[in-house]
Amino acid sequence: MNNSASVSATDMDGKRPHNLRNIAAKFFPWAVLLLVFALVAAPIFSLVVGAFSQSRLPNEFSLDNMGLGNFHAVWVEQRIDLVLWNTAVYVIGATVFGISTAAVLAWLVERSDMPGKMWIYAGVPLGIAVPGILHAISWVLLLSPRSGFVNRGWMHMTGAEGPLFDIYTMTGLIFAEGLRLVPVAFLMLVPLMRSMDPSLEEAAAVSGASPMRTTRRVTLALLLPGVLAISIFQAITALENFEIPGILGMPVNLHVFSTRVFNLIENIGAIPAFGQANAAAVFYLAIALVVSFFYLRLVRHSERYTIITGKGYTPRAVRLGAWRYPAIGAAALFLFVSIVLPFLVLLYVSLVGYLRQPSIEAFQTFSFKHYATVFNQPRVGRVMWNTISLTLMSATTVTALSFVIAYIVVRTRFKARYTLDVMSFMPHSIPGIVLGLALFWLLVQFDSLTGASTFGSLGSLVVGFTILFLAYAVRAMSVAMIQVHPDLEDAAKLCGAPPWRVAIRIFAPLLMPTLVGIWIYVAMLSVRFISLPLILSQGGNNEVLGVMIWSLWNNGNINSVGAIGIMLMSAMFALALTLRILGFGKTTGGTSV
Amino acid sequence: MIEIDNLHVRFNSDKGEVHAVRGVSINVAQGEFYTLLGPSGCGKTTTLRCLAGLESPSEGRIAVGDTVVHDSAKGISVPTFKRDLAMVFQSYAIWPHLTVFENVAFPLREMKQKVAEAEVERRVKGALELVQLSGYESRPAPFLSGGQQQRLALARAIVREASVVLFDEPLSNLDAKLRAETRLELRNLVKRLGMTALYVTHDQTEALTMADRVAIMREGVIAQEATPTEIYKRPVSRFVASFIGQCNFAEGKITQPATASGNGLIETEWGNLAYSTQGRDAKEEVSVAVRPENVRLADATTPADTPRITGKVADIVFLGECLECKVSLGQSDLITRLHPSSAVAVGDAVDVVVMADDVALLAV
Ligand SMILES: Nc1ncnc2c1ncn2[C@@H]1O[C@H](COP(=O)(O)OP(=O)(O)OP(=O)(O)O)[C@@H](O)[C@H]1O
Ligand SMILES: [Mg+2]
Repeated sequence: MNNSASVSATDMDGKRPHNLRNIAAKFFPWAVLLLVFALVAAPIFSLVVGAFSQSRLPNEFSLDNMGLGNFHAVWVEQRIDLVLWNTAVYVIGATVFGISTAAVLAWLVERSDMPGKMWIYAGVPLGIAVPGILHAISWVLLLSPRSGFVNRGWMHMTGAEGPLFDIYTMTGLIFAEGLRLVPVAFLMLVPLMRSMDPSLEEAAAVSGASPMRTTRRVTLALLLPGVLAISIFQAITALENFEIPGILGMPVNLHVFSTRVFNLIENIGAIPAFGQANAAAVFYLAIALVVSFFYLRLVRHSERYTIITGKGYTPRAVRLGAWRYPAIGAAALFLFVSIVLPFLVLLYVSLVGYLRQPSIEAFQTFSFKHYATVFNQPRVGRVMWNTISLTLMSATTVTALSFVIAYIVVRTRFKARYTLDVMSFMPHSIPGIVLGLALFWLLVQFDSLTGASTFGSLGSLVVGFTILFLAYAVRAMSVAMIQVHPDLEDAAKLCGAPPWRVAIRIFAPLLMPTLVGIWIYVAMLSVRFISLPLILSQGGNNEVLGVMIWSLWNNGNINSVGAIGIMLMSAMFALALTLRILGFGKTTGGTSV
Repeated sequence: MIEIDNLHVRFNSDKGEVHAVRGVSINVAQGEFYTLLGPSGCGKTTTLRCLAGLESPSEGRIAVGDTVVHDSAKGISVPTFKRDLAMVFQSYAIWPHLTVFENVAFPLREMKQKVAEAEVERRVKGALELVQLSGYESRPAPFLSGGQQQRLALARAIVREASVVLFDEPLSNLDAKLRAETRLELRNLVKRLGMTALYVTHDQTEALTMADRVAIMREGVIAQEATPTEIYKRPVSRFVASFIGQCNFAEGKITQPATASGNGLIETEWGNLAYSTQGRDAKEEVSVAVRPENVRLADATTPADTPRITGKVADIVFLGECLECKVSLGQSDLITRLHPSSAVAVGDAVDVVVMADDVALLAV
């Protein structure tokens, strides 16, 4: 609205036009567009080019040695079609399981008279604080077929030969990933259920429809488009996830796309096949793009006004009658299984003398010695420092960049603002592993051309995370900015406040909850995300906590994993609570995460 | 005080170019209360926003006081915050994160020379008193009623003592009664402070009661600019006549031109009409407009040289302060407004007259 006026600044007497400022203001949006384009296009370009490279290693890359060999190898030798099938089963299974669980919880909290709703409402989103890798590890500790606490106890008690449940299976994968999807799905579903106008249901009832038919013909029909959009969104999350299949599937060669790509370059004992990894990643990316495209099509029209029309009615609560207590029981069980249990398992592992079945004797060996061991390693100090710097830098960069992009898209008449909007959503469909691989190629080439050492630097991770989390941040920021009426800023300008004062005194305070919310959420994601750092980690300069947990786990250093995991989770819970207190997850984040 | 010269604004939207303002020129004198009136979407807000520097014109020149704030030809454009203006927004634009006091104090705190805290307090108190909001200082701004928010927006606009104040439909969010009360209060306040006001509205009553001068806008151009009385009595076009109040229209031909010494005559579909506006030739085809309240029943006091029109009362509607009658004249109708005590009934044959001064000749 107001940009065009404020950028064409000239002095009061009109004699000294500030040409430089004028030009800068005019080209700034183009520069931002170019930056976003570069952030997306450069890695993808190097990924695709790498997929055609027949050289064995990225630094042997040469234009003379190109061909379709990698695609052939991936399809025929590596049987990527099987991976495709596995991925489909895993993604659909996890999404269906996760969304149904979240929908039941959201319905209970929003539309029923279940007792103790508030606790469930506050508790479910805290699940965001449990990093996927720790989730997966705690499931292994409980349910691995031979040594899992639960399976061992079961075999001991019943004398059975086989385990109760083997987590290293497709069902295990679906179960673990499904549970992990619930918190965000819940946050997205709650506003949807809340915005249901009860008069629509009442109208159906008055027209003579039975409660069952009303639910089916009106309630479900109205919710369907929203639920579909949220499901696709969650399917993208499941598709891109690496931690769960990496811990639960990879050890038994149960591969989905993300682990297969990783496996091609990090397979211990085999020669890394970079070109093939790229070819597989290109398939992977294509699938993610197609799914994202459908998502974008689905939400393009609805998204913009879902929030603004949120009227303040309280839908009628459905009476559960005798089912009230089973309902709260089930909801509490969910909280226990998805949040409390992983914490308890890791706590036990971090305190017990050596890894064994929980028992009275085991409790007697409790001590803090594993924590001491962890802190006595010099490596840990550096990793902590790296993690904290990475988190601070990523969160700040993403917040600042998304602010600028959202401002240009929402508040200016910049010609290419729609392009910028769409382009900033693109990275949403790039899986972490794919981006890691793409950046790996790009940085290796860049370093060998310039002699710099970007590969293995912390900065490379910051760039990677910025690309990965930008889409989410821009969405949340635009939604918040749309809600700030442009007149509020115009009024300040008319009061004689120059643009930077308007930004400080009006815009920033009004957007503060969103800015802080996005910052914290990105910080949490930066700690949780391990796929990208796994590929880009090189030496101690950019090793972060997630990567360290991964390698400790693979080396069987389980007690240390427990100790680090407990500290990490505590920090994450603190961040998640701050986020809740800001009310962020409830409004802005809920619809756009 | 305000000089807008040949202003053009074109928007590039998804559906192509929108030429929202097409050559508007406005001159507002020091201390004048000037109103822009027009139907929705005619470009009033756009014009106002150009003046405030919130919109950049495609063409034209704007001066406030002695300062040229915009000149497309010379590439001059003074940013909004350096213009000596205050504005009351249609949405009020009250900052929700500030208290009532801080909302009003904002313009003072943004002044070039720092205003001492005691002075800020004094001026804010004064402004709040003027709009009768004393005692609400520490209230968070969102906890005000619609009328109070409107007055707060006004206080914020006057506290700075800018020489020009712009209003964008500031009363449109108020209920009818409050709007009627606020109209005159607002005008008196602006006059008392000696400010020059440019007031945008689509409500004709507001325009007629508040303004010193009214400009009627249509599709980005000014259709007529005059005092409220002049605009009401001598509309230049059908659009202006029907936009302000109700009107009877007819086509006709001058049979005898009006001169300084006597009225002329027009032959219309209603019958003959006397008229007094000079400068038209015999045989000229003209359109005439007559307000319903100027169509009267002929009685003993009616001058003999005023032609009478005979018709039949076809319909009567009781409106409280008057009777609205439809007089059927064969092919055409005349709407008249009569005093409620008039003894007419449906089916009566009546003679009506229109005084020569009440016949407006339309330019188009
Ligand atoms: N940013 C814009 N982009 C494209 N067209 C616009 C824009 N702003 C206004 N217009 C168009 O310009 C024309 C004039 O708009 P303006 O807001 O000035 O109307 P208005 O006279 O204030 O109407 P109202 O009484 O409804 O407020 C309208 O046709 C509108 O659709
Ligand atoms: Mg308007």
